[in-house]
Amino acid sequence: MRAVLTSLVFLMLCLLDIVPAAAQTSGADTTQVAAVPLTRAQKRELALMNNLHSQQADVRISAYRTLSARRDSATLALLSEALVSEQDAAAKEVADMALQKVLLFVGTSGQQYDAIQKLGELPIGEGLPLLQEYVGVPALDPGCEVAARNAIKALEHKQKNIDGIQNIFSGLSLGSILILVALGLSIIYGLAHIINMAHGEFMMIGAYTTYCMQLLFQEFLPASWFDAAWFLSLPISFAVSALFGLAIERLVIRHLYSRPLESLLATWGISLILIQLARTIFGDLTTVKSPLCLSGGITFDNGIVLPYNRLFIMALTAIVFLGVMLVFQKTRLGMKIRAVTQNRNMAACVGISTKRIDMLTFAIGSGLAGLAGCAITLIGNVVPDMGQTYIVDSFIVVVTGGVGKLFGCVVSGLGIGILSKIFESMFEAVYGKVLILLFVIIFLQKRPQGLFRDKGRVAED
Amino acid sequence: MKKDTITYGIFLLIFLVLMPLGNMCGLIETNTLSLWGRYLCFAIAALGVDLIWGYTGIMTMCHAFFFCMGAYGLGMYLTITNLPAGQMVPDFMSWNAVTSLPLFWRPFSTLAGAIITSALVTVLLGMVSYFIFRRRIKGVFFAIITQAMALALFLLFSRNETMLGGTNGLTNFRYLCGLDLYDPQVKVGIYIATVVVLALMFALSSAIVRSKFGRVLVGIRDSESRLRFTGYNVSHYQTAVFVIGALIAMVGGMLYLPQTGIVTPNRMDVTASVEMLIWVALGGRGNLKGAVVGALVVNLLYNLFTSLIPEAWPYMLGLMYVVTVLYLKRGLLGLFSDMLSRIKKKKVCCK
Repeated sequence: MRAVLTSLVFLMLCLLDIVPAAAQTSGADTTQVAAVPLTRAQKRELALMNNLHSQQADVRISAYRTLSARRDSATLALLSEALVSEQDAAAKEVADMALQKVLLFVGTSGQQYDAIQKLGELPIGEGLPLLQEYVGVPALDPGCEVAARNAIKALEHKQKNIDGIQNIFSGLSLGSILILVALGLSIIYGLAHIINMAHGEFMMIGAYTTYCMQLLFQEFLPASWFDAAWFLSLPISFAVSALFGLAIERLVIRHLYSRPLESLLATWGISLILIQLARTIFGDLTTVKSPLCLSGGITFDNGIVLPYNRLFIMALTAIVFLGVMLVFQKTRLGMKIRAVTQNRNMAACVGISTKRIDMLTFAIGSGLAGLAGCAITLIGNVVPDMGQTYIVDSFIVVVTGGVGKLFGCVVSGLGIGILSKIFESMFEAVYGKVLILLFVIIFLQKRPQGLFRDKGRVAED
Repeated sequence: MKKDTITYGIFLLIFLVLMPLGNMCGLIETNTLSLWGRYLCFAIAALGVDLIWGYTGIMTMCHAFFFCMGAYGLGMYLTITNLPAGQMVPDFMSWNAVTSLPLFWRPFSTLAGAIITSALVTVLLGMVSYFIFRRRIKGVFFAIITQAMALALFLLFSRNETMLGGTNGLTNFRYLCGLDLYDPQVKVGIYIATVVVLALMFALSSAIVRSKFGRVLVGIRDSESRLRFTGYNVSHYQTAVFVIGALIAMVGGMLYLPQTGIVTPNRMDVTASVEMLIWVALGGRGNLKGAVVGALVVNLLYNLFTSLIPEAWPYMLGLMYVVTVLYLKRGLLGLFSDMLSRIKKKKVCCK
């Protein structure tokens, strides 16, 4: 009795293709049932048949999918038979498609013709390679070949449209990141004419803050809170980066407001120190786990996928931009910042403490970079020199947008984001970058002060 | 003026006479000499930066590219002439299934061709800046655009299909015009050539600075718009000095290559360009001696730190930027002369 039981279990294991072939042959000596050792291929076949008649629809579906890759009449018979007895609607559809795929290669020319039409309606990634393979088959029926070529053309056209939409979407996504990074830069530049080379490193600080928050949550709070860690890190990375910014403003930048070119060097030095600091503390590569609710994306029928994390970043950028606008237009602090930006001396004369405004603005700008850093953890790794990836591009965004113009920042950010994705799709990524730069230089020939500029002329030195 | 002559004399005495002598007596290793030779090449490049930034007030963030332009130009020549017999293209090309030398490599097959072509490319790329100057884009914006340019060129040179050796750069050459680059005597020779070229470039730069042209440059630095109102075409002057500085850097790069035996795109990335600025800033801006001193000091410190405590070097370099900008507005040389004048004053008081 026991022997029969073990041999049954063994057979089942064989069917599931778990027991390695060596163990199986040695096992065959001790059992009576599996007297003839099965080859691996035979076992796989057995398992497939088993799945094809499984009670569960999804198991059957996967069996149909496996069968659809074959090109012989035995499979054809198997599939047609299964299609008749299939009850589940979804499974039936898959079985039908599998049948068409097999028919394309082994059916009569009439069946082939029908199969071509049906495959043309499939999602591109599935239909196109099959049809391309089909056209390569020698001695095709001429009518079928023409039909297949037409179907391929139609599919390729569709693919192009989808690629276009995907490109624009990823351009928007890149653009919104650039805006998020450039917003802080632009505010600081507009106010104090200082380009903060360490801006990317404030971003890095924001990203590492997010990382630390996740570690803390993992350590001290139940797992169900884990998603909350990321969302909570948004304000906290803003705060931490802003604090760092405040400290650096007090220590270094405030001595340099009248010397913008040199501030460039000093902030470059600060960025070197911060990068090395991060490397010393955290090592070379860390990743932040994206919150579960932001994984996945919206999938459309025609195969376009819009990932949630990128959509979230876009929404975040919009919210942050609106928030900054509100602060600038509706609050007293914003009014003061605008006043100092427009005319520092005059603002000082009416009693605004320009030094305090400088300090606060620098902190806000750095905080915005921190926010951007937190957002970027959704789509990339956290590395000490991550700031460098985006910083040159966001400088270009600021230059193109116009000095200290928030709205210019948005327009040029989106423009450069979309353009670079379009260029990247046409050429290699590197050439795309070179082209963008050329484009910006030519653009600045037309409008040296960027997209949006102050009306009238301002006397210089 | 007389004091300067003494300084130059001491400089030449140390680098042109004492160091090679020490090498001959076995006190200084040939490799150490080559190392100094490399730093002196950086000093040549720093002269160019000083002309552009220190005297004209244009912050350039792509100067390392021009330095590499020289190194790559000579490197291409050396790569072609050092190909093993029978091989048509360098290894990195044959890996990409390229069987004949690309057209733009052709001019580099002779030494004169290589030098002239690199100079032409440098001048042409330098002239691109005219389009930026023309629209009166200056200061921080100019720095940012050149930085983006440096990044773009770095990326281009790092690609394999641009046929410039990709990230590995150009290396594996041994003979320059029949001279064995591994031979100690040749090394000493190149070192001496570097010192001589540095001296020549220094003389050239100081001639430029003293000329009327140089005065206009300082005028541009101090008040661009006033100069424009006086009737000078500022952008022409700016472009001219930018090209001159680029050419000087290119010469430095050409001397640099035979002493290192390799050039990679890493030499021309944004970091390298910004590092050139700190050489000049630390030594003393608007002071040609400062540029040379700064380049030597920073690179010596680099050598010291990377061999003793490599992790601490970025901190040190970062601090150097901050401290130089905050406290050493006139650089080390400025500090030195301040101290001198203070000592003199004290002496006067005591009397």
